[in-house]
Amino acid sequence: MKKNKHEWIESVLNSMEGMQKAQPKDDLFAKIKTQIVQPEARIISLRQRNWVAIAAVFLLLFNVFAIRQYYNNPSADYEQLVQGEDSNQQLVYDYNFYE
Amino acid sequence: MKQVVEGKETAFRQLYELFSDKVYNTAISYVQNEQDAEEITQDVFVTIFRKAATFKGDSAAGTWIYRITINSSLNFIKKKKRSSLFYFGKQKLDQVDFEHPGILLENKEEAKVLFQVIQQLPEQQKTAFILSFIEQLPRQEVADIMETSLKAVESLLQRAKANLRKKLEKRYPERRKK
Repeated sequence: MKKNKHEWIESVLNSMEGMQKAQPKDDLFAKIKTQIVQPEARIISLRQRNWVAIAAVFLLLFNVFAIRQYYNNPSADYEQLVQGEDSNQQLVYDYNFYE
Repeated sequence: MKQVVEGKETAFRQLYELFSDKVYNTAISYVQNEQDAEEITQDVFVTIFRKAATFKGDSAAGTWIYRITINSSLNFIKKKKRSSLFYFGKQKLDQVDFEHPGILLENKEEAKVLFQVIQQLPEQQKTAFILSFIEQLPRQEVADIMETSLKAVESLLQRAKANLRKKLEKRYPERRKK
């Protein structure tokens, strides 16, 4: 006998009457045991990963800045070098080996 | 649960015997696929084993296990939706032809339709409906699992049924009149 709309809706809503619980396969417990003995994978959160990336970029920029500073100020080193040579000559003049 | 924390296999096995059907049945009602439900069940019991020490006993063990199952199932669904969008192959969920293995033969066709419309319910209504009508848990237990009041569960179930009726009205198969 064909059902009208209301009867059909009710039959659908009540279609779970008498249902049995679904059961997993017999070998599932063995699979669970296998997974338990494996070490737990360390999960790095997305937030942690983002902070590491930000820190890496910062370090890179800092290094670039430091290198640029080094190459932009070569004269300071040269002056130091010249001063060093002068003081060495001073030492030489103080000792007159040959009169 | 204490013996599970101590790593005693017999205790864990007993827990599995007691709850595996409930976990699997709940999972399959969400994901409507036997393979996926098995995967979720596996994940749930691994979680139970690893986090048994965190179980404080302020709720029943069953309540705690159902909560883990629901969260795992909902996360699984979200993950699957994200990956299907990524591969540009969106599966039309309302067209999945799922046959629950426990349904009586005479109800199989109607049950197929019911599971299709259950999938379209909002999360909270879906959970309340699955726990109440598929798991056949008392309303108070459903409230404990969902960490809400009995009144809220009743309201969710009313809205779920109203929603289901609306969707079923649209699906009523057209019958030719002689």
